[in-house]
Amino acid sequence: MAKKFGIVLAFALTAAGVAGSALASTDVPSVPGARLVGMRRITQDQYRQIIADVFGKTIKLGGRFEPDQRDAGLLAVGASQVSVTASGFEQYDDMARAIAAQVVDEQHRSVTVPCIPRSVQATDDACAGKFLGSVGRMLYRRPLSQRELAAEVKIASDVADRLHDFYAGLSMALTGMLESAQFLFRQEVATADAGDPSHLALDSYSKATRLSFLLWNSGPDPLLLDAAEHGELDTTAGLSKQVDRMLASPRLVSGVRAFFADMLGFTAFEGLAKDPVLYPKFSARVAADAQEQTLRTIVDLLLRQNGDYRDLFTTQTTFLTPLLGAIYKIPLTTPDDLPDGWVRYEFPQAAGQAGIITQASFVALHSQPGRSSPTVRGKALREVLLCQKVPDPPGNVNFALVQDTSNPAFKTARQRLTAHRSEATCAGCHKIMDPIGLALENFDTTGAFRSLENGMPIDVSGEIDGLKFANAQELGKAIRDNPAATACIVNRMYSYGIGRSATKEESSWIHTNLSKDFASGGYGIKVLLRAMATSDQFYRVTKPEIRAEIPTSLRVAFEGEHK
Amino acid sequence: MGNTSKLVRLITNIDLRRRLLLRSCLSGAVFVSLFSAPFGHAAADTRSYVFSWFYMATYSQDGDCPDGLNDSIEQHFRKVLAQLGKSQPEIEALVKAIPGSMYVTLGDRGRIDGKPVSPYLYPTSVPDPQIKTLKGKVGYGFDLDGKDGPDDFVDPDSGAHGVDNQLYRVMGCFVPQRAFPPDRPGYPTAAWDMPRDAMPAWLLEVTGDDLSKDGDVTVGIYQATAPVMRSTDGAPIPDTTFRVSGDRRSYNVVHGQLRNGVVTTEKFTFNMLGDVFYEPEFHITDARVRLALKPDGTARGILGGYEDWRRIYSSYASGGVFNEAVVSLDVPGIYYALKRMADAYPDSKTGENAAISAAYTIEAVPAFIVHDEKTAAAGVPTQNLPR
Repeated sequence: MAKKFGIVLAFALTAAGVAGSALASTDVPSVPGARLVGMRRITQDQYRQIIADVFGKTIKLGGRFEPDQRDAGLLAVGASQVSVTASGFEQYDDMARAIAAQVVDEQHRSVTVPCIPRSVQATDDACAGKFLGSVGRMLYRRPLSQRELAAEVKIASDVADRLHDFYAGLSMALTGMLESAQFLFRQEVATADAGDPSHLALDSYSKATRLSFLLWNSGPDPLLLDAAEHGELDTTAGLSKQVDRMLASPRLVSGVRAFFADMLGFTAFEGLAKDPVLYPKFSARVAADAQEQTLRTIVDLLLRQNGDYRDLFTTQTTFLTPLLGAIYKIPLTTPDDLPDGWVRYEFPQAAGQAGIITQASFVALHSQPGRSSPTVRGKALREVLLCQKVPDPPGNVNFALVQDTSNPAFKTARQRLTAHRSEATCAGCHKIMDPIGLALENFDTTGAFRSLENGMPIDVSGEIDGLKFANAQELGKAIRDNPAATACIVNRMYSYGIGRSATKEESSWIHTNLSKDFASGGYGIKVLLRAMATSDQFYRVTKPEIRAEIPTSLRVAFEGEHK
Repeated sequence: MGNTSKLVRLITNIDLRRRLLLRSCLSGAVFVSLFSAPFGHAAADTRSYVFSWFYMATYSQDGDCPDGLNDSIEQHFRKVLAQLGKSQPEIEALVKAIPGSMYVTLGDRGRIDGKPVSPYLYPTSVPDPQIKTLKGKVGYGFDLDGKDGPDDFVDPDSGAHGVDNQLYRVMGCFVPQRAFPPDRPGYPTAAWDMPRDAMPAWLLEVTGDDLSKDGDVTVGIYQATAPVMRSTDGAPIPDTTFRVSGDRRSYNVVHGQLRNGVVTTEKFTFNMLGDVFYEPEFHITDARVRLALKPDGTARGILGGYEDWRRIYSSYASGGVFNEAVVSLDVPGIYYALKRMADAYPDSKTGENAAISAAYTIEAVPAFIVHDEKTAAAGVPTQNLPR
């Protein structure tokens, strides 16, 4: 923990140094009792979303991001474990410079800069302050302190003076803000919890940030920041009002998509490939469409239809492109005037589809390049959708038998795995993975339906937790009715929101409160989000063991400072 | 084992029924006639495909060009330069400057009244180079004239004699046009491949009461409204869906017979729009198709008939100097050979044959074909269309 903190501090100092900022000065007073209780690096998608929200969608992002890290099944949790490497900082620097240059260029400045300088060749501290103050509030997800703002204005002024270019000054100051720790990391600050001395509670801006990233996968909008500034988020009514506003916003779609893309592990698609000789249909475009199919299915069922989360494992309604139609071997055309090429599609029962678990995004992602993998699929069903940890295999496993799909003695995956399981060291884990994975064997490594493997009929029957099923559809029904599935989504959602796994105490609260609210609300995702986002528990923080006050170099604005 | 075989057959049938059910579940504004044959036949079984290959059928074998193969690019260039009266040092200098020198020399080597002209627009402005033609006895196609003459082939698939395919004899000794199946000839592969992303796909549909049995079938060959989508190997992605354009210039329906998994059609006139880079338009009279419906879901066969040889020539001529300097053809030589070897439809006045027999290889992969109501209404046999 201390090591991570040191890395972050070093990064912040570096960032400040690059921009020539005085953010690292030590004369900023601290606020007694305030604690920096969490830092999460914003993800690639969040970075893109924030830039689009603050500056508009016409700002182009170049460069590459450092890879996000998955922990406890979520990138959102891994984001609490990562810092920024030197090479990663170079990338952030490149992107920051490119973004800042676009924001103040002649094409954008009339929209992005809220004032016109007295001269474009000279300094104008009032105009610079107005721009940097408003932009800084959105990027840091809180108002800049007077001292911070003064420092940023000074950077803009110094550069404008030297280059005789007002906008170059703005650009440099903005670059520094975009590569600062205050922007790149969500910094959560907590103070004493008035109602519970054993805990801390997030301050208003940290609440707003946690709420906004949960529901919109982006930083708070001005209205939410206003509510934080006025203390409205500290009242039940004020918090509920904001949560309801955000749940009603179209931006909720982004938040829900981000959560499920994270939960379903879609970043793994970046490295997914299929043997092009065996499966020439599969391409990067198919992979992208497959992810989109599932996300559209989810958004439609959970948000547009206000449907039951559990129905994701049985629904026959989805959205397809002609390319996916070829994968699923179904006739599909799109109307000529359809803008995005996606059509709503209802699979017939005979298609054997079982909601998202038989969609290409699941069966293709959890397969090998040249063959399906009941074991990998079974493991994913357990770990991703039921939150049941499957132990890693021992290091000396001989996979030769499983991998040899041309062995005439073992034509089907079931036969190969049965032989493989005869080894005692393998049997235990395979017993919990293979039966459910084998239920998806009608879908090859790309998601295409098949009835035979090497000329042999595929047996897709099995059992899960003592419940027998005949095929993937019955498996989907079994998962739908499995309490572990709903418990899993609740736990995942909570971890996603707070950026770490739930503590034992939190788990108890989740079980006794959140899960019940979810069930009584018909397992609607909005119900779950609202229950979580309006609860005190969601913003409560266990007192950290290290009781150091916030280092002044990483100070965020506190009430007494900026008011 | 016996039980397993029965089970496999059962599941295969279930698979087929499942696919049929899937097809039947289509809905929306589009009228899908995947079951029904064009113009309302009550047929129950349809297999539909998208073309993955269509080009002059080749069956190249050692010894089928006893006079040798036609000249390479350099050999051809040297001969042209000599005919133009260039000295040996000049020839060597120009050959050294290949390919640039070819473009400026070949393209205006024709002579009319001593003035340079394009040999592609005016092929008789150069002497007949007497290109080497194929003399083999095995070649794809059909007996179009009911005779078995000395120039006729024996078809390697059907074993039929009297096969008329003079186009293959004209083109069969050019190196880029030679290949033994299933290989495809080199340059035609590129010519077919390059327009793929722009040229609307060609579709094939076989409909009958039960395609697992012998019987009457209807064969439709149409153009789609959109090009193929390509897989990672560049070939059309199987199982994609296409709408039929309904353009009568690319709408062919003909009756046929299915015997032992091979469809053979009656005579019809084949019309199809192509692409300017490949072949702008096909118009093949007395056409017939022989098509094997393969167990793996693909189809392979031959379309043969008579084509206006001038139309074929114009396609090569439009490629002009590229066809000579890059593809290694002799375009005026092709003109003379086509004219000399044309074998049908004699002009009533001159007696010269206007058409040449030809055969094309068809390869197709499974696809879904959608006929909208307008197209279905327009579905009338092409041989009855006014032209």
